[in-house]
Amino acid sequence: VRQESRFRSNSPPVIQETIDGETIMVNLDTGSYYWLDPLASYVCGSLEDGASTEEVVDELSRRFPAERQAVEREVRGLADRLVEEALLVSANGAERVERAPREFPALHAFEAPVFKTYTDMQELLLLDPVHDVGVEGWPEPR
Amino acid sequence: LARAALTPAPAEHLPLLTEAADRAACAAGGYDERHFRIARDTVRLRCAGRELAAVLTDAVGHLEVGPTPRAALTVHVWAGGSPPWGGRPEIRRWSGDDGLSFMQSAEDWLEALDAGRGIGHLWLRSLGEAHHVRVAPLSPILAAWLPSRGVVHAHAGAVGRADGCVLLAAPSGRGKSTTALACADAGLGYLGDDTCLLAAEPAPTAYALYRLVQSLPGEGAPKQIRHMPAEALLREAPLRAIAIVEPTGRTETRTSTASAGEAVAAIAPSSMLRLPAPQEAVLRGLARIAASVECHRVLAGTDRAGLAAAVEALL
Repeated sequence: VRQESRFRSNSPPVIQETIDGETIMVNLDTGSYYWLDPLASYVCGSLEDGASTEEVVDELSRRFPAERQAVEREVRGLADRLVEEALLVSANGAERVERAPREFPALHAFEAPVFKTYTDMQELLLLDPVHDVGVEGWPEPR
Repeated sequence: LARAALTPAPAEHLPLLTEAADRAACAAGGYDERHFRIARDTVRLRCAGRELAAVLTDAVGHLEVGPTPRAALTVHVWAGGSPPWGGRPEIRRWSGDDGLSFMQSAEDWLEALDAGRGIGHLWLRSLGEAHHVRVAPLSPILAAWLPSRGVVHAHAGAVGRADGCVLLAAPSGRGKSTTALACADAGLGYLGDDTCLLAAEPAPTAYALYRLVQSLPGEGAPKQIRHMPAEALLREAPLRAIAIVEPTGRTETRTSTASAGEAVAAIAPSSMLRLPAPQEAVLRGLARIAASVECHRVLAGTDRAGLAAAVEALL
């Protein structure tokens, strides 16, 4: 991930819900799903809102000034993972979206954001080739 | 179905399946029509012939109600003959204002839902090959249709009492049935071991769907199917807690707190990816439910009485 990289949510096919600060993301194309702890949710949400990785690093470094190196490593690492898993896609050149500020998780010290990947549902998708159809109608019978 | 009779509009396609069902019913001596209370709605099954109706309704017999002139969903079921739609394995989905419609077919079966009309179709090549249909009939149709009624078809078990129940979440083969049956043997009511229905409003509630239980008596042994006894069945109960079941191989069972996010991660993906469900609605519904009840991790031991006691303690 380059400096000043900006992203947007890869939705669709990614859907997500945030509950009590934790986020569940599902990539409907691959069947992989993800659990993000509150700090990972915050970082991911900020990137989806249009903040660059550098801006997120700066913000967290202001909150945890003694941890700048770890903050930079972890935020960039998480951004890389989110892109690798096709949860975020590049949106360089896009303007930052003005949204209500996200609530920062209650942390007394910087802890590495936790991002868990689950792939146990992928087999189901491979077994069931899904063909979405548009409003024009159902598939023609053979 | 004749190619020439079909038009591209979805509304024009599915009625042809009804015509195919009508012809089969005519040949079988008419429809055997039955009504079932599925969560908060009445569903009407129109089966072509009594034998088919007996097999298909075995798992949901405890939910049967008297005839009503207005069912929220009508499902036509017929068997025999050639595939009414090609026969190649595939799934098609179409989302409209009325919810998710779909058609999925294979060589030996076809299921479809016309959400706008509230009509479903199930065709089977033969009754003998319909194992999954006997144990969990209409799962794809109900999973696609129920979210439009504010209900989620969840891949989870549930046990409890009339005043409260615990949802049991785990991947397939990882302890849901074992835990549900241990709890039923210990006197808790049974709502399901693999599937139950959940509503978030007005208060989190679990509803039973199937009363047949599949079990593996031993490694390599064929699956056994049995009915849960009527006195063990619970039709619905307020949802008090979600338990993420994790077998440990140890004797004793321990519990610990889990987050709502972990609970959703344990239930939602299989609930929305196994069947043609409207995925965002399922994820949103389960998230709302998990956020409003306690969530726990049950590190399930091999002592069945201890396991049941640990689950009961969550009520």
